[in-house]
Amino acid sequence: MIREIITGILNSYGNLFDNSHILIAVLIALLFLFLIRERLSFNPFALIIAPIGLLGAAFINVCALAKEKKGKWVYLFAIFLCAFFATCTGERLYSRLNVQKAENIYHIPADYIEVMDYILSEDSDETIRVLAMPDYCMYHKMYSSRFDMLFENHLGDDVRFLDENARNAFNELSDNNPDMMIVSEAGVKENCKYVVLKKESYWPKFPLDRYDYEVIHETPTWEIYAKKGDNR
Amino acid sequence: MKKITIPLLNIVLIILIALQVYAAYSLIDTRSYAYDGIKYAVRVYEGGSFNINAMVMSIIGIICRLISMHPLVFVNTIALVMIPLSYLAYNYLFNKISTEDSKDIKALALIMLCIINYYGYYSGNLSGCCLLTGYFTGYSICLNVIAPIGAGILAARLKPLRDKEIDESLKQIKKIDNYEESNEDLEEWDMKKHPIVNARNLAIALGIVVVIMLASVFVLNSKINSLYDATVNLQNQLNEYTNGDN
Repeated sequence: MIREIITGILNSYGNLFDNSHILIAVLIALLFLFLIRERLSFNPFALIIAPIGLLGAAFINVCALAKEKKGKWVYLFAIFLCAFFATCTGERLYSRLNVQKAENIYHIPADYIEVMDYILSEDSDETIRVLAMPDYCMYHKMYSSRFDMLFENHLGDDVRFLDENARNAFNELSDNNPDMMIVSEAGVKENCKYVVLKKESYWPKFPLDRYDYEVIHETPTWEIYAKKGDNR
Repeated sequence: MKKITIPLLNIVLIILIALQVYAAYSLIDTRSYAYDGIKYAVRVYEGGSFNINAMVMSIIGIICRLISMHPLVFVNTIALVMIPLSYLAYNYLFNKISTEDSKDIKALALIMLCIINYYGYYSGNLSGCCLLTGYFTGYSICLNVIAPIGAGILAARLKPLRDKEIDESLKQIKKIDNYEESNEDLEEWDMKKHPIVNARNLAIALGIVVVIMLASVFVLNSKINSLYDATVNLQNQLNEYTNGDN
């Protein structure tokens, strides 16, 4: 637990300062607090462990200074500072490109829950090896630990760490025009019992059932394939 | 004026926090890495083993098992309490570092944090520690709850940096004219005569430099190793291609 807290703090610092704008803002805030150290009733270096708190402390002291000089304008000044921090320390979190409304309490698309429920009910094995599409494979293990995925990564940053077969399948399924023979071969070699594909994602459409898989279930959006001749 | 503004600012603050809770409840960020860790909670929830590197998620899994609630449902409902809790932690920090007169400014600072959480400090890798997308992750709890409370405690304990106090202590030390007259141990005399650049502080500085050098060597070494792994695969692939051409 302690080890996790320490690594958590270090990693959160690393992740936080991945956005270099916030690093610059934190350094400016620290410099500002150091310059006005005579006025402070606390040691500014104590706040290094909480970078966002450091920004807040700098904000409080800037506003206090502004209030001393021009009392009535402090709120306007504070709004300006808020806008400055908000626009200069990162990008807008909620944009239409990246955010969508949750369809259910699981925060998983409802039709995909149907697919996962079908596989879970169909198969009684303790672990079910599945090949799913890159944007959706992350949902399986979040839903049930019985799923064993060929690849779990959904954003593709760590593709280089995948095995050769998994990397081939990932690359093909990330493309709009995948070679289903490579996908099928990768699935067979890696012993994937099921393959889940979206109906309208690929063009031109070469169904996977030409190779070693057959369709066992369809929903309006999804096709579930199982290995041919596999006893479920 | 002050009687009106402080409650008004507090109402704005509460509305902004409530909006954040609502946004975390009802919206999905499709870029989010934050949900990746939930698989560890699901494994514990379904009777599997702990992951020692994801203890927060394992604890969530135990709680979910006790109350018979799927971890995803727990995270999207009960764990939302972490968002107001984070603002309470920041409020604690701001109470420690500011005076009673500045209640309106403290409320403004919390509003600024709210706005930063909505619009600022976000990049692709930040979803694990950004309050809005990763409020239930260990990273976010460390950064937004443990760190502000720790900073508040430290700020209350550490002495403030004031040059006047340092000057007074320096004057007292200067009263000692030289080492022979002071009749003290050499190390103590050195530390009193040279409060900043003395043998002890230099030894500490040297130690810090050595640690930083070791850390940088370790980091560089790990980077070189990962590069080497990447080039090994590359070489194999190139060999395969060239063999195929021949």
